[in-house]
Amino acid sequence: MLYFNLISLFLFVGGAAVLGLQLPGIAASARVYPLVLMVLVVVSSLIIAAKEIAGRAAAEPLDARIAKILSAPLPVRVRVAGFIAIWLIYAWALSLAGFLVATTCAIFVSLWLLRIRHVLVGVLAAASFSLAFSILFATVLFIPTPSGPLDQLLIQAIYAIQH
Amino acid sequence: MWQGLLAAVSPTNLFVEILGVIIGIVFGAIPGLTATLAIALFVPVTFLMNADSGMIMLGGIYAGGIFGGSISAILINVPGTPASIITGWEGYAMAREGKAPLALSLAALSSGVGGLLSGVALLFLTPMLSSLALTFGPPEYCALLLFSFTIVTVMMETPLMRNLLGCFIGLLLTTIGLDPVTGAARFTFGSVDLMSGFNLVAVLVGFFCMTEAVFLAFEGLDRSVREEVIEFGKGHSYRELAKTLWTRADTYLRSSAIGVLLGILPAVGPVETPFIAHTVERKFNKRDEKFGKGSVTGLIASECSISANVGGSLMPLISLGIPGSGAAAVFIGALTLHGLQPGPLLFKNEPALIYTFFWGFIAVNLFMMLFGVFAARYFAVVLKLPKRVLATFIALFSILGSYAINNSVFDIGVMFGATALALWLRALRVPILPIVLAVILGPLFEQQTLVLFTTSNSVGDVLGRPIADGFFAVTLVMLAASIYRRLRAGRATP
Repeated sequence: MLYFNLISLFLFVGGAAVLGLQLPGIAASARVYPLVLMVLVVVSSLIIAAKEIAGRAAAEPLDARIAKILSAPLPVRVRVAGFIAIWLIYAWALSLAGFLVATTCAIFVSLWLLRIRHVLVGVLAAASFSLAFSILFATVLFIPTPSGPLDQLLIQAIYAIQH
Repeated sequence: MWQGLLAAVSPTNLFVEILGVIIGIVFGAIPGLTATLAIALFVPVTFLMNADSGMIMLGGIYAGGIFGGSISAILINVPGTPASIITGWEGYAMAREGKAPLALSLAALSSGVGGLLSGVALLFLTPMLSSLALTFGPPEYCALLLFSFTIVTVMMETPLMRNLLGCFIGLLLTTIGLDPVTGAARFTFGSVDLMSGFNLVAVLVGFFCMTEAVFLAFEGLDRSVREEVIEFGKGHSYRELAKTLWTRADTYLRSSAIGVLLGILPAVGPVETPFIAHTVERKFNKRDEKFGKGSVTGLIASECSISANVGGSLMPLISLGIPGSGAAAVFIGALTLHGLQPGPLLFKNEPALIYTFFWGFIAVNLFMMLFGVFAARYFAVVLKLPKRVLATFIALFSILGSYAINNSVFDIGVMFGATALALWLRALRVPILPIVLAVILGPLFEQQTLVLFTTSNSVGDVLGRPIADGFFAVTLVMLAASIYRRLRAGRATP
């Protein structure tokens, strides 16, 4: 924990320093307030770091929920990491594959990673939900969603049914 | 005021009131989900509605979510929200005696009474507070905002320096984008997306929703967690329930007053309030040996104060633009989406909207009480929803909600960045509330500070304002008292 805390605090100092390097390019009147805040971030981080190194920091346990994840067996942690990864990939894949395909795949993979009991149910649920929401967004809420080949086919079908 | 009442009972608003309460109760009842998460998740949805309907729905979610936590607390001794811990002590003990239906109905009645009384306070006290706030200038605003930041940092149990670090990081994040006075680009690194800074709704969704999805994903995989058995026991007499309204009238009134007053303070939210109300009630009921072990009075005090806190926390939000709790802070996201700036001018420029919201808030508490008294046991079915399903759909809605604000993938990135920051700071034992408050109030604080420094010729211009002096003095006293208390307790300050 000590090393993690120290690295984090020095990263805050580093981050403030990186922002500080941008200051010369900013108008003088717009620089003062962020400069004061940077100094406060650096000073408070260094004070906490100094207390940690001197051993005067309160020996408080790590957050319980994070501690449980970190102490879980490796396969569980890999699945949690996979869960995070799938949603990061989903955000990227939305504009490439379109809402319908990306959402169906993301829901199914997420449920599968989290050990859904019935795989077929998962596939059907993912597809049904994505289709229902695509129709809802297109016909009721009028929220444009990233469009892929299947989305365009769906919109054409909706248009054909409506007219 | 009366136009607001008519608008609040229109068919559309009645529908969103009921919908909001149901959503709130469902989210609140599920352990791991909170009212704040539910509000943050549904803020983007309010974009599709009128401002008044959106606000009312969020008010319903807030009120319903706070009550919903008592359902799992009473039935399986797992508080659905952190605010329901005391309800769990009293209510679960009653459930073990076969009185679960009575405990659930009593919790609903108490919540409803507390919420209704806070709604009335909201209706009559907010205009007064708002009128006072119209006389505020930059010195008063700076003093009030400093007071808000200070109270949040000193009230947290985590080390003071870490609370301050969180506050400073939050304030620094708000400087990214265009300078509010000169319009100069700051820390944008040439990116057009960063010119408008970080979208507040995306940040809040990342802080509250996506982080919870990650924890729920883990808990869904955790095979050591066993399913709890829910026992309902026999029904109860509604007469017995109604009788508490006059046999325990003093408890209802005292707890509601405590809830409203504590709700006005930025750092004292629904989590701390029931502990204070419960302790006060114990002093007035020394003969009640069941306090903490199935006491009706204890349960009433807890639930009444929590729901009263909800209305209380909305009072400074509407009148001053300063949220009284984390959940109220998320409301600002909804107002921002509709192009509204919370504060005294909102009251002056949009009185119809505000009064519609106030009456809608009273209505949602009424619906919450009715649902809770007659149908709480049916909401208990949500306790059986697998966490893996919850995690998946909360993650999905978090991403879609962030995207829908501006149809921008950049906002999804902001949301993930906020999630990473929240988890990182959580591991570092830096609490989230100071950062949330700083992110929300940072732009206003910078603006008022700059105006203060440019318009004031001397220190006397600032110190000659009694309201500002009062806030500065209280801020200094609070900070000094906190430092003294922590040093005396031998707690290290990092």
